[in-house]
Amino acid sequence: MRKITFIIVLLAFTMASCTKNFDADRNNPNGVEDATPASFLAPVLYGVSSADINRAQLMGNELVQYTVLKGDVPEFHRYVIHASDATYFWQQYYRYAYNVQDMYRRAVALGDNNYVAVALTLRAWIFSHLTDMFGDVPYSDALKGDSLLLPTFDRQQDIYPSLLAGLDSAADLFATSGTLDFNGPVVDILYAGDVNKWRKFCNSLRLRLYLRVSKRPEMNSAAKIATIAANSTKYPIFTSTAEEANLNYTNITPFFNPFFTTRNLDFSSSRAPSEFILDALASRNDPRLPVWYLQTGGKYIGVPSAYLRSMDGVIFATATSALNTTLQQTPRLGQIMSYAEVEFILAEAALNGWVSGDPATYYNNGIQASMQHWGVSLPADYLAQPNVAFDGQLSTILLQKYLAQFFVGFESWFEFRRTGLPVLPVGPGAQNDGKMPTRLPYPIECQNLNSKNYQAVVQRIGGDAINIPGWWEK
Amino acid sequence: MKSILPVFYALAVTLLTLFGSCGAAFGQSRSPELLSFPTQQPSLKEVIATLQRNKFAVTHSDSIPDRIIHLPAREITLSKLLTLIGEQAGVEARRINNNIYIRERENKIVPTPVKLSGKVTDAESGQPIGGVTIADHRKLLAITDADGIFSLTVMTGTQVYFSTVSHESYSVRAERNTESLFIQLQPASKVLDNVVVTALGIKRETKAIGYAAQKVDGKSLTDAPANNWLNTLSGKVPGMELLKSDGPVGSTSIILRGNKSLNLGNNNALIVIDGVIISNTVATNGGNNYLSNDSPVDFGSAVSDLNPDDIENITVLKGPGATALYGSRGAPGAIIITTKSGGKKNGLGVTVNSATTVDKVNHWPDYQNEYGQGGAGGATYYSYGTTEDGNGTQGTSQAWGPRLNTGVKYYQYDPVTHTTGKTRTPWIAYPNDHKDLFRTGLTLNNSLAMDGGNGTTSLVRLSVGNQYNQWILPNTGFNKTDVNLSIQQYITKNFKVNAKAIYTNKKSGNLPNLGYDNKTISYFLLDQAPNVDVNWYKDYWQKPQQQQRRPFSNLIENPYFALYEQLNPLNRNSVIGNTGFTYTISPELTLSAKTGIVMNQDISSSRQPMSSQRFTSGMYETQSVFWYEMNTDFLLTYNRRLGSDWHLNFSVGGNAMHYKYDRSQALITQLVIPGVYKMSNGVNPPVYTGTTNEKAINSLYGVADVSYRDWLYLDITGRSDWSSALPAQNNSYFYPSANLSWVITDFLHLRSNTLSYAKLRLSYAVVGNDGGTNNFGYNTARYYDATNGFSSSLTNPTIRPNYNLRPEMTHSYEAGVEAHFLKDRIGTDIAVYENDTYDQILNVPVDESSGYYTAQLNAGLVVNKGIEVQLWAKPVVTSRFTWTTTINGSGNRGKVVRLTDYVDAFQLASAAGGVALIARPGGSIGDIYGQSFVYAPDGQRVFDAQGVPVLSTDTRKVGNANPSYHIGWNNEFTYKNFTFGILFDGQKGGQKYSLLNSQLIGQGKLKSTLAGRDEGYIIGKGVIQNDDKTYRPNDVPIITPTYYTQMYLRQNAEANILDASYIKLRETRINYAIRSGWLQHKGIQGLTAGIYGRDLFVFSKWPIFDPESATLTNGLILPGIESGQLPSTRSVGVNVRVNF
Repeated sequence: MRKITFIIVLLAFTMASCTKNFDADRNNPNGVEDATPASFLAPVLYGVSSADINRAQLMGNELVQYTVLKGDVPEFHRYVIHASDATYFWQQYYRYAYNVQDMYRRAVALGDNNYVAVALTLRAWIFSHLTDMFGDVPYSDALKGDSLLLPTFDRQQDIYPSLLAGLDSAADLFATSGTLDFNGPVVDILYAGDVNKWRKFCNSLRLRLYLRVSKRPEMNSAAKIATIAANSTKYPIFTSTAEEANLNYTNITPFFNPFFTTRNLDFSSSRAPSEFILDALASRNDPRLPVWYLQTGGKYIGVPSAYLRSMDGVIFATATSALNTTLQQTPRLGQIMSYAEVEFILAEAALNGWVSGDPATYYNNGIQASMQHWGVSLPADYLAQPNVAFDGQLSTILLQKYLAQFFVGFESWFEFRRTGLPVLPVGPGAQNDGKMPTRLPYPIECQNLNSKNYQAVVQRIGGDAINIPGWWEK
Repeated sequence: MKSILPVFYALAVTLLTLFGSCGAAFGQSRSPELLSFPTQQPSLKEVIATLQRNKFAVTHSDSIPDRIIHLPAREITLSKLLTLIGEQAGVEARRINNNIYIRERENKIVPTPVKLSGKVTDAESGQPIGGVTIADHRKLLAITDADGIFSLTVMTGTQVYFSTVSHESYSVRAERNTESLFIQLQPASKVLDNVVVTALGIKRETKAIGYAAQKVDGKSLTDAPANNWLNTLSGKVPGMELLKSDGPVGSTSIILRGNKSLNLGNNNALIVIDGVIISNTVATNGGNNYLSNDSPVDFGSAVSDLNPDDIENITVLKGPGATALYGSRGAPGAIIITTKSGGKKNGLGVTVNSATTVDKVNHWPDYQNEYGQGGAGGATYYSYGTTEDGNGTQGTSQAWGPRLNTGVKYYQYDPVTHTTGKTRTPWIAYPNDHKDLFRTGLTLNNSLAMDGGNGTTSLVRLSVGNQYNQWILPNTGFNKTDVNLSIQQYITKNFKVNAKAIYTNKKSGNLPNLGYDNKTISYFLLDQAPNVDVNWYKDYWQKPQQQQRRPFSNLIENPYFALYEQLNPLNRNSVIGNTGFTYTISPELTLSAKTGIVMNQDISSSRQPMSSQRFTSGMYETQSVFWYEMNTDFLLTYNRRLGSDWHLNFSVGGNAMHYKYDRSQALITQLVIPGVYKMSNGVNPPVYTGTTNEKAINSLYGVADVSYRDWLYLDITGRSDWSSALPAQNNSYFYPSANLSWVITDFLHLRSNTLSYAKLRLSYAVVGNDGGTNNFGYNTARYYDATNGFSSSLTNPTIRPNYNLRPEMTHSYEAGVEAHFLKDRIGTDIAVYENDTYDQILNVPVDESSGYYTAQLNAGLVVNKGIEVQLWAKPVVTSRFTWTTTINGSGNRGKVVRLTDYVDAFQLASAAGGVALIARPGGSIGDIYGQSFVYAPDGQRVFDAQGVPVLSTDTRKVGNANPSYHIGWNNEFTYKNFTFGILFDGQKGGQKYSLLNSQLIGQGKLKSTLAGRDEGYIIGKGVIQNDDKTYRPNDVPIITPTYYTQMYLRQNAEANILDASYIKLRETRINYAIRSGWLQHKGIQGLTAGIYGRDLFVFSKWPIFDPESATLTNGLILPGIESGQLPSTRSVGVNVRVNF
């Protein structure tokens, strides 16, 4: 019996001591423990940009009538938005913002100012999306999941100053030349590490965001924009399409156009141009029309936005134009911020008298830049056409800006909310009292999983409705 | 010569014994007090004579027995001698002065040593049996040698037991010396009905088991074979639910007693083959079944690749009580498979089994053939391309077009010129427009088995099997070959070694893509229009290797292009093997140890030619998945009888498990040369990705079995696991179980002709779990992932690490009763149970603004309660005709009691249109959520101002995937040499969301969409809300196609939830067994021929293909959701089995 006891004890010992190797087995062979600031660059740029473009195709393009869905649902062109439609943005933006936070933390630890500035630029880019879409969102409490799973919501008027302060400091942190430190392969899919181009992106983004909040006097937008525009050495901005923030998809794994493998049905044939944009392009003999849309039976046929629900079947069965399938492969779709947008911002600033220069010049430059971006040459008589030639009206600038911002995330929706331009027709099937939504409802996940803070913010803003205007809209 | 040997042996023993006793006669004494004997074994009479020679007066009665007295030495003191006489002869011996009185003790049987020797043979074959253990109540006495010969000495009156695993036990009472004790043991096959293989491979009598353990005979798996033999378990085991995927392989998940874990993948029963745990994880390409680049391809599991001809029997252990000893993975229950091992007789036996099965599509949706292609706008004419009749209408896959077969003619597709016909041709329906794509399936199962050895101490079996399948879709199927070797050999009489090895090769040139996407056949069948002959698609290249021909909608792949060019070949090599030994250290103590491995390599690829819907420039992907699981274990068993009433059995054991998984994948997304599928033919260099997972679990366990007489049995087990998937401080967890079996009839002496047998059983068990197969503990620390594939790039984990993860625990309670009546003609077995699973290891969703999507937590409590009933009867038993019938039924109710403090819903899986399986406290696993109709206060459906039904904005519970109960009814009739069997099974309740239902109706493909076509519009039944919030009956007509589309939108889960109840005629078979002297003369021992049918009829309201088939997605088989089925089959076949 003693012998047996001995054997058991021995075996037990053997078993227990075997657990020494467990640490090795528990070590994830697929992931790594440490990262550099550069590690996050490509995934963040591609991830956020893909999310923008992806949802632009589904929702943003529908809201601003670049396209009209020829199916039953979703009904974004009828201004119907559900809480479930917001989940994806919330997920993607916060996820990549978390990566940017890690980049920032590591860059600060390393004392690498260029990456600190890149991280601040990306943070402003991502969080401006979030607050422009939802209004008040978790910001100061956000991204602390290791210790805090239930963040409170910050007011938009508190978020914007923080983002812009970050951007302002980033503009000063960037070195004036040289490349980002990679300590390995160049993984910057946007600028191949060119710090100066990053600097230009940072300052261009400052223009975009200062313009966005320009209705709020406390933000000093006019002066800020003037400072940037006047000081091209200290605050260089985009001066050509070669400098614009555009992801040039190689279509080599993983750097695909986000629609590379999307079914023709989902990308193109179910998406007709709205009659509005078709008319806007056709009436100006715009060469971008064939780049963006396909003909049917030798003609361009659009669909009116917000047609009646009972017409679903008829519209579905009607042969119409559709989004051009070449957009599924082209690197031109990878726009984060275009040079054209900068020119249109300056045109508006010049029109308002914030910056010097002739608004018409900026306006024409913007049109030229957009044509260049889409690979078409500006027709000789284009700018002279009566409905193109600059007439000193903001609406003229914003119509061309609307065209130039085709498929650039949700920018045209934000601009519409700021300016009400261009004036988009409201179809008979429109819901929401025919009003363009001004925000997205908080996602269901957020409602369920952070309900206390959700309830608090909903009470503060007066309901989780899609018609509540944001702070910068007022 | 062999048969004479034992006789010689017996003679020799007898002679020796005789010589021994003869020698006793020559004793002499030396001293009055110290007596001397010529032998150490004098008889009592010789002792008396010696005493008398030494001047003692001996008084004794004549009746005292003359026994041999064993002396410690030839010289012995008188007092010691008298004590020995008293002890050994059972008499009273006293000395008073010089007088010695010897007299019989009253009523006392006097044990004396008796010698037993002889031979153990098989009662049927007469062959000797080696390795039979011979024991008394307390200890092992002897073991028979290879010739079955034994010899032993015991005291009279001892009950001597002869036992071996392969035969029924036998016992004799030792009365007198017996030299030629011929023991005949009944072969095990007659006994095995009462023996089941329990956890750790321990064989137990059924009456000793305190939990539900059901045995399935290997024969019933081959009576009516299925492509995946697991499906032959249908209807045979109460409490078992099979979730089946589509296609030639048709992988199957086995759920026992309901879903316990909120991780659906952790609910599959553990599968153990000959003590080796093997995976029933469905091997797939990992694809998602709804509109994804990678539609799922089912490669089949390691279990489904077994050859059922090699299976001796299966024991299903349903509750953790039964499987506590399998540890973590035993929580969902276990299927214990014992493969065949060698013949029961001497010499070579050969069995040849051949079965041929043909398959046809079992059930079609109710397709309409009255209206042809046409868009939802209510097309009034048809034109293939723009003709003088108008613009082309061929581009739609909808069937809202003009009425067919009315004599009208249109310009249509000309399959010869591949363009518009020159003249108008009759507008007619092709009723076989779906059926013609399919062929008659063919499956050939052939196997050859040889067994040999001496039937007892040496067992050898070698078998070769082949399964060749041509599935019902052209260019799909597989070919599988397996070789199985099993050896058991006694090296010495108490040292047995065994080895088993199964090698399998499975090859397929093409396995079909499953689910809902352009390249799947399910999608084509949905989009095929009634006016299109599927044969028109056969010439599928417009430009070889570069452009497929899509004469109609260019959204659907040409089905022949999909089947002949978008190939998914597979080559699998797998080995299941184990070696081990059993060493009988001493009569009470046995040590066994074994090591087993399952090793599997799948080399598969996937190709998409140019012009494929998702890869217009072509694509080629190769994948290699290698995994193994190795288990090494030992078991030390101590076995002891205490008197004749108590029997104790203690075992301690240990197990070390190591699992490794390695997947590597290479991909090119654009081809340079069309039709060349090589990694070097990519426009860009191939992209490689890989995953490695590893895990180890060490365990120690102990079992104590105590039995009292033959009517009370108690098992207590304890197990401790150390898992690498848990953080170091929490990686050890202990859990116990206790099982009680009480045979009431034997306890109360109630056995009668009415009540033959009754048993009550009780079981309680705890099982710990480290989070299941897919938890590797990688979330117990923080790692960055290379998520979206950029080089030198990383992203934060989306799962919040948990540095303090704990094991999850299942507590289960079970009670059962088994009773036999009327001399076993009728019987019943009823079990009730409850399983509570706590602290489940879950990735619980958290608000993403925290930076994480999910947090790995211990959360949740799921309670399952259920009942299982089995009834069997032999209504007719005559010498020529017998009828045996078995009915089983089971019902399970699962309830999610709680999740976590701040999560009120946990999504288990999602499907098309936002439909999802969601667990909420108070609900159950399997609740289906989605959008639904909106109802007015009076219960009527609400329509909007345009006559379209209003859809709820939120999601609500619309159904539940769990059936209320399962039933199976099996009958077997034998008449002379004929056996006729028929098995029905089915389920009541259980709902399923059907995407195809939504789409088939929306496209106008079903007969149910005919109503309202002539009128052109329909007014939905319901109400419309007026501006003043009151309701009026709906009075707004909408055009017919819009009505159907809007009523059955895919996101309208309520409209597309269907009842999946069914009854199937699962198996029918007629076997004829030929036994004739003539055949035997030719060397054929037996010949059985049979015809069988499988799934011949389905009775169900389910309108698509098969209510049973479940959705394979992301490597999981999901209940409750249908998104793109393929037809299932009805099979008939013949088989022949010959024994030589």
